Amino acid sequence: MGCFGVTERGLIQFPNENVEERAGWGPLSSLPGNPMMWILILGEIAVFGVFLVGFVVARMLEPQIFESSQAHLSRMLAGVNTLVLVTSGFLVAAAVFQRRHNRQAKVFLAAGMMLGVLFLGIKSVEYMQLFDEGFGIETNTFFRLYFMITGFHALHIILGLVILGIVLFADSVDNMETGAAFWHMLDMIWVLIYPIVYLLH
Amino acid sequence: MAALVKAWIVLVVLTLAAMAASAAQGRLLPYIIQTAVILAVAGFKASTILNHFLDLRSASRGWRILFSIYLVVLGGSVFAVYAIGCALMPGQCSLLAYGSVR
Repeated sequence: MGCFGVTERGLIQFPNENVEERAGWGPLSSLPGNPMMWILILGEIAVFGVFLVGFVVARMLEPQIFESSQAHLSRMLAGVNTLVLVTSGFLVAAAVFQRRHNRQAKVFLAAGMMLGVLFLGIKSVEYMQLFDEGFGIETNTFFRLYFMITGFHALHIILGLVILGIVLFADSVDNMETGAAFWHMLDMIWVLIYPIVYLLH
Repeated sequence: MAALVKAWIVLVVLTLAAMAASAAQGRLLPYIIQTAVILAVAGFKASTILNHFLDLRSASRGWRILFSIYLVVLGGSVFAVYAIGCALMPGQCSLLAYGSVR
């Protein structure tokens, strides 16, 4: 059973049980998308926050090793990847905007996903360059944390692409908002990883 | 849509500025200020993504405050660890010395 409602976001189908479900989520129900996704997002944000603080504490303990190791990272590729991911985030946000106004949204979502794939491609080039130079996860504390943080983020990008891929076919406003929320979380985490791991020294 | 485009332009310009500064070999800012600027820009970019792309502006005030606290605590912790680390290495690191922005 379901009903239709017209909101400022356009015509949306509300299955009755969904509306009742939402009301039971308390504060989470005021966030865009499915509250269950927000539980995941809040957990991920906390985990990445701990990773990043852990990274700078480890750096404080071994400043020389971190300084010399960081010099081998490609700040250029990381910068380009930041441009790619914020542009992807923009396209996904534009897709949600379009969907809320009942306009063509899939082309924006697909373009955003393609940039997500490009992000992974550039990340692979970055990893390959380091492997070629003889650096790996076992090299030292810096590279262990570097590969762990950026690798964990890249795995989430793959998961994000799968979620957006599902949303591409099940494109209700609620699904769009839910998939986009996860994607923007990854975007936000990356703009924190970029300066802390690559730029600060 | 205009607000989204504006947010995207802000993010791109700030990223290009960080890339240009990181490519420069010169000594641009004292260590402590450089660290603060890089973290402040990162926090601003993150809040731009939250408010405009994620549309947290339409969420309740409590959530906006919570996410702001997260960014301030994270950025503040990183800054504090850097400042303490530098202060613990007299001779090798000076908070007010000019460091090359990479």
